[in-house]
Order: sequence, then C-alpha cells, then structure tokens
Amino acid sequence: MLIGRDLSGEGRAALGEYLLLLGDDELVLGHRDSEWCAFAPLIEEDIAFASIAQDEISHAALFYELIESLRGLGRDQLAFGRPVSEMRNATILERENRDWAFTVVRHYFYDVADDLRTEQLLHSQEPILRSVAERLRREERYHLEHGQMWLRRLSQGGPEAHRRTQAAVDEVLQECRGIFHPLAWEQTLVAEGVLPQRPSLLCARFQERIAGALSDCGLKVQADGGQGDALCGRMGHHGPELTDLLETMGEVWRTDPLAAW
Amino acid sequence: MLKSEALTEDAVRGALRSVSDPEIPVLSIVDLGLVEEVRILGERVEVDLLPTFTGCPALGFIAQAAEERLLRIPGVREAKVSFTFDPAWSTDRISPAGKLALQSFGIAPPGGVPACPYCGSHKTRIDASFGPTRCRSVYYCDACQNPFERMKAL
Ligand SMILES: [Zn+2]
Repeated sequence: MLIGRDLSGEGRAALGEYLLLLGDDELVLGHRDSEWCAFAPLIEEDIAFASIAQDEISHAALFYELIESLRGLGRDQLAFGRPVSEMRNATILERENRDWAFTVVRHYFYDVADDLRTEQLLHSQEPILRSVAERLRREERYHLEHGQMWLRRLSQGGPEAHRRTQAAVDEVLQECRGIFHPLAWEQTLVAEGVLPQRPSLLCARFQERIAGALSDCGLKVQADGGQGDALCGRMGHHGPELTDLLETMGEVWRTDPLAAW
Repeated sequence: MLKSEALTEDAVRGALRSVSDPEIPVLSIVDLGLVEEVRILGERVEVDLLPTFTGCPALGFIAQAAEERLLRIPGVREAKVSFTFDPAWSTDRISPAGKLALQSFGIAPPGGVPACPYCGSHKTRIDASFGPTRCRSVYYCDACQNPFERMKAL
C-alpha cells in the first residue's frame, strides 16, 4: 500500500504518530469489547459485541499495516510488542468495563469521536487514507446506530437504569475529551495536506453532538468543572488498567513472538 | 511449447469465477466485486483485489487460491495477486448474478426490503443488526415465521 510518498520526513513521522494513535484507540477499545463475549446481558449483545470487537481490532490491524508500509514495523509487534509507555490510546478507552451503562456510553461517545475523525480523513490528500476512511465509515455506521439504540433504551429503562446511565455519562464525558488532546505534530499533518484541520479542533463539534444526543434521551451534561483526561494516554501516561489489559492481550503472542499464526 | 491463444482479461476473469471467499462459497470473487484490475504482461498476470472486510482473515487464503487458479490458465507462467484499499469495496459491487446466488444460498442480499429466502415474502423485518459473522444481520419473516440472515449493506 502506497502511503506518504509525497511527504517530507517530518510529515511521514507525524503521519506515523497519527496512525499509531488511531490504531491504539481501536485495539484497546476492541479488546474491552471482546471482554463482554459470554457475559453481556443478552445473547444478542454477546454477538453484537463480539462483532464490534472484531471490527475495531481489524481497524487497528489496518492502521498498523499502514504504519508497516510507512516505516517497516510489523503489525503484531506494534499490537503486542510495545511497552505500556509507548501506547497512544486515550485513557478513557483503557478503563475497565465497569457496568453495561458505562460500556454503552463510552462506546457511543467514542463512536461519535471516531465519526468526526474519519470524516476528516475523507478530505485527506493521501488517497489511501480517503478510501480507508470510506471503508471504515460503512462499518462504523452500524456501531453508531447500535449505541444510539442502547443509550435511548437505558435512559428510558426505569430509575436505576437512568441513574446509572447518567453516572456513566458524568464519568465518561470528562475523560473522553482526552481523545482530542492537542499534539505537537498535528500542524505538520495540516501543512502537508494529510488532514484538512488539526484533529484536536474537532473537540468542540464532538461536545455539541454529544450534548444533542444526551438531551434527546433526557440525559444531562452536568456542570463542567473537571479536568478532562488527567492521566493523558495520548502522551503515553497510562494506568494499571492498561498494564493488565496488555498483559492479557499479548500473553499468547509472547510465548513465541516469531511464530506465524 | 505450443503457442496458446492470446491471453485476455476475459479469460483471467473467467478463471477467477472458480475462486470464492470461504465464508460465502457460492459467490465467486468476481461476482462479489473484488476484482479491481487485471494486468497482462506477456506471460505474467497481475490482479488487484479489494478486500471485503478490513483485516478479514480469509484474505491470504483468497490470494493464494487465486494465484493457483491463474497459474492453471494456459500461457500463464507467473501470477501475482495483491490487495488494494483504493477504491474502497462496497456491497454495491456485488453483481446481479451474485445477488441471486446469495439469495438461493439462503442469505438475502443488501438493498431495499429483503425478500425472505425461504418463502419469498417481503413481510420481513430486522431482528438484530449484528449476526453470526461480521458481514451479516439477522432478519425475521412474518409470513413464514423463519429467521434468516442478510448481508449488511456496506
Ligand atoms: Zn418467509
């Protein structure tokens, strides 16, 4: 796959950083999705989450493949062979699943964020990024619909469901702003035509869309006094929840990193 | 060696009609719309395929089966199958013959209100977006009261 041919060295490095962040978000959330398999509240949701997990993890594989053609690092090595400090996922995505409300709310908020990001990629001057984005968006549409359906269902599901959903909203809304944490190399991507605009600027539209979706469901954006993503996964600062996740996810691979699967 | 008939793109596409995605054996990769480009360079044939699903585990298998089939075309000494994400594959690329094959295999094709693959009724509704594989949803037929699968529009 030809990517980044017309970019400067700095541009290729910035693109590599961006692809890594996209891949890590998908990989880590995809792993959390997979943890619901056999534990979801309904069998349909066992199946849905297994399917969504496969989608997200294969999107990660695709971003890692693009990195592979950009700078020659193998995708398995990227997925399983990096120390926690080299992971670039946003902190909210590594959090353990907590309860069903937290799972639904986090996934839906992430899907909205991802929708804005992939929409931006449709305007890239890199043809491969445009067609990858087009492809991913066809799959992600089903995730968005699924999330909307569940957000509505939980918010109208009686006092306890409503209370737990609002609690999940309060917890997720703060930390998920870390998805749009501003990064030093963003401007390079804009200058070289990879992106039409710095991705961190999408945060305002993200918050608008979330506010709209919440008010449709009778949920509230509580007074904003929080500090966003205090840990800052984008800078490689993660908590023990990611350490445990990577431990589990890479366990089989580490038994023989050179094996062909 | 006898000079074979001129190698044509039609011959190559014809040969690829016997290669299918192992998850949907009734549908050739040609009818699925995966064959994007065929290049004939003397005795070498190069084919670009579009992957249906991102990170689909069957891709390696499909590429290998396609190369093996291409090498059995008279006059072909070298075959190379690659994948490209540009353009993006979509279910709009499935041919009319491919849609019929899917329907008779028991999977309703995407597009419009699906006809039940068992009784043909259009009194059908979606039951679950996510089905037994990533590319299928589950529908229900109110006429014959059978659940059935449908390929997602992607
Ligand atoms: Zn029927």
